[in-house]
Amino acid sequence: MDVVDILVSIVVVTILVTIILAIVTYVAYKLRLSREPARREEEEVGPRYFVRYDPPGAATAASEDRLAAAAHPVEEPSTARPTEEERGASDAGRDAPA
Amino acid sequence: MSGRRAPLWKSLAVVFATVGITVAFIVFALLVGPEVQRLIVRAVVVVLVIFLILLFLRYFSLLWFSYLGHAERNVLGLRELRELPPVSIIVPAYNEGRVMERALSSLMRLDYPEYEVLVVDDGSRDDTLAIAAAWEGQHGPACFRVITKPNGGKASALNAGIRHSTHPLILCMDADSYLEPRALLDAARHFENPNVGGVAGNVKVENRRTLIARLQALEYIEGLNMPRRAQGFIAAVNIVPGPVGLFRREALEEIGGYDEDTFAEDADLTLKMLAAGWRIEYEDQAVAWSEAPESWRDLTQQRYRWTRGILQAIRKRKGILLRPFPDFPLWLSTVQMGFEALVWPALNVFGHLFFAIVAVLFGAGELIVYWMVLLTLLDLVAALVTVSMEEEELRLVPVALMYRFVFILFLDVVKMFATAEELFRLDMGWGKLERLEAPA
Repeated sequence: MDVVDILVSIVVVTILVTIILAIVTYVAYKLRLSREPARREEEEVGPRYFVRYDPPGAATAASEDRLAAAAHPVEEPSTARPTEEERGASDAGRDAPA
Repeated sequence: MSGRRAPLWKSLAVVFATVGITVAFIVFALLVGPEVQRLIVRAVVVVLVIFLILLFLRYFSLLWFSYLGHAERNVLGLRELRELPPVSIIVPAYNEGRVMERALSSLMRLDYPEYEVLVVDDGSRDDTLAIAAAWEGQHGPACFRVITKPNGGKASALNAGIRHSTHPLILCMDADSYLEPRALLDAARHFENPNVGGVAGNVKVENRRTLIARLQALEYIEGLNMPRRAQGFIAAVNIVPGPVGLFRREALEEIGGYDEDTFAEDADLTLKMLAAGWRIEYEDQAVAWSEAPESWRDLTQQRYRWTRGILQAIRKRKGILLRPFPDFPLWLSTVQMGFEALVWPALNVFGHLFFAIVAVLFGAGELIVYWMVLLTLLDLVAALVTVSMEEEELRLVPVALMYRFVFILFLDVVKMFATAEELFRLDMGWGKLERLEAPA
């Protein structure tokens, strides 16, 4: 078996294995995707049974901000640069599972 | 986009139909008489010769225009702006808690006199909002603000950011990317020309520990940035990448911001901007470092979404494909995108398959080895040229040995199936890549 034959074998095996692996990976991706829970309907269309309460005077704020403020009650953020302790707390939270 | 996923059986049917048709064709070609066999082989050879010619033309024209773009940038330099307009940086974020801190830290260190950073929390369910909120306030020349909204997808988050932004230039980026300090300064200078509506930055792969990540690092340099530099030379960049794109507010407002009906909002927006007559340029010093997928499954998911998103963007403007004039750059960009998403992957996969079969069954292995050696040499040269142009790591060049026959072939199989699903208009979800732990 000379060098060219060896190269031919390498090229052919590489091509076929790559194509097969790509097909298998794609199918595996699709299988795994199908096993992940689908998004709940209310996440897409909003709550089904409750009407969000908008306090009077908030009409001037952007609607998305109002909705979000209700959905994510957050403390009034500080305008100062975060302290070391606060930054440390953020760092600790960074590696929490998403 | 609905975000619903197609049933599994439909996706599998596409895969099995594609594989089945290919196998059936091969079996048919082997079973028919020698005359029909010769005819088939000749037809395939003609197609492959066309493929080969196109491949060489594409490579050399891209290399040449890319070199011209590089030389123009280095010889002429960039125009100095009389004054640097303030910039709004929009960071859309959905469950990006792990990488948020790093992205925001990079934005604090930008070499630019005045800018604001708007983090748009797209209804995250992790600590993204809390981390971003801790950054609110003035940090040197930058004012950090955070807005939050119910989850609606990246395009809707970017649109919310644009609505709340105040400055004449708007930089859109990803929360998993971080910018080089000079990125904004170098990109902003292009706006001295009033016809420039957007500037595409240079995205580089940050994580290069594994082979798959190094292959992507080379791909970003050779396969994405080289064409972008070439397109930049004719001011018709067809994708301003999501991790770093600077836009003129006037242009964004004229085209109505991002559409929310594709999964490649960056490609869609760029085509819209070109169609509105704006110039799109490329700036290779506006560097954004981005995290590349480190598993084949995540890579598959990413490329599946890119391919379908690009095809969705093209489908919205299919009329352009038949009208090369009066807007030739737009036509060229759209045709190139369509060709590379729709035609090229299938040609590449079937071309390689044909070579393998001919080598095994018809004893033409020697020719095929020479062909492969030639293409590998071409890849090595292209890698060397582009890596040198970007002053990147030379250790990426040997990766080119695996680039075409493993990496690109793998991606083209994925793109082919994604294209088939898009042609059948199967539903798809956005998908969220696994984030790696961000280095401090």
